[in-house]
Amino acid sequence: MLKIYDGERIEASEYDKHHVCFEVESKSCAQGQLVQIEGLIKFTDDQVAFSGSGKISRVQTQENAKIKVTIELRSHDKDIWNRFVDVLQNRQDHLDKLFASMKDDE
Amino acid sequence: MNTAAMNSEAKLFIKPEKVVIVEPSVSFAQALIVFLKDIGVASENIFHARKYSDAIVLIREKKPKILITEYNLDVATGISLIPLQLEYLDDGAKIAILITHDTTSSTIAEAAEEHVDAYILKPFAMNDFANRFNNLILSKMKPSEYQLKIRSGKSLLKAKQLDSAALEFQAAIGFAAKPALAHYYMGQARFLQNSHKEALTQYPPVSG
Repeated sequence: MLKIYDGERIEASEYDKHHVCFEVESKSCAQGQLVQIEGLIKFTDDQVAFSGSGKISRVQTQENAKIKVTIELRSHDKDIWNRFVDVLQNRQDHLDKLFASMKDDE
Repeated sequence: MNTAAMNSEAKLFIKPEKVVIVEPSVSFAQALIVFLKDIGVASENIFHARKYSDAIVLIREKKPKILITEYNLDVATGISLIPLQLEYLDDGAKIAILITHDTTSSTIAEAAEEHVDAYILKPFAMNDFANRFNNLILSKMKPSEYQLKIRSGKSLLKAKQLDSAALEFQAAIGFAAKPALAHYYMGQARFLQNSHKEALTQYPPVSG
């Protein structure tokens, strides 16, 4: 979904309207650091370039010697990001309905 | 950070339970572990496996009430772990959550058929996850009359008490606007009673 970090694919594990989380190598960044994000956001029918900057608001160590960083988005294309968030949300809402109807849980 | 969405009753319910997370990505697993700790699950009751074989050992050993699993594991699917949970817990008592990038209809149908309780897409916003988790816990704590009748009927069906099972499914039909599952099981009960014509009436042809 988002590709950053010297061409290596990094998966976003969490997101919201103002934050995104990635798993990266330990000691590669620190809390409070300003970072630049560049990558592609893939939608169902198209993909768009996304770039922005933000601040690492939280760093959590993990059991696999990597760290999870939470980036607070500060300067970015809000239309694209909001579209991304809405698409994911709508996809989950649609899936919830489909799943409930299949399970007869409506 | 994510606990606001959790109802206090749901938190109490979840507190003493064991949870097994089967997730190859440490980052996703970490997010779930932090969430579970935030809502009061004890660290010693949270277990994480990255591989399918480790997950089998953990489930057999710890017998978790709650299983949160990725669909795509190294050698098999996370869905295939759910029968292990059903060896020691009734379908109504266990909680199985599938987390995946997969949105194909066949996977969704497989999940619905194979006793998955919630299907959550990656990546997720943790607040959304918390909301869905909360609703799932509440529905397990307080199942609807329809769900109770279906469960009771299924148990009776399993025990070959076909007349009693049919009565439960008949009652369930009255509790839902579109009781497809109740008709499905009623059809099974009638079939096992050798009432084939009656069984067929539970599956009317789709018009149009």
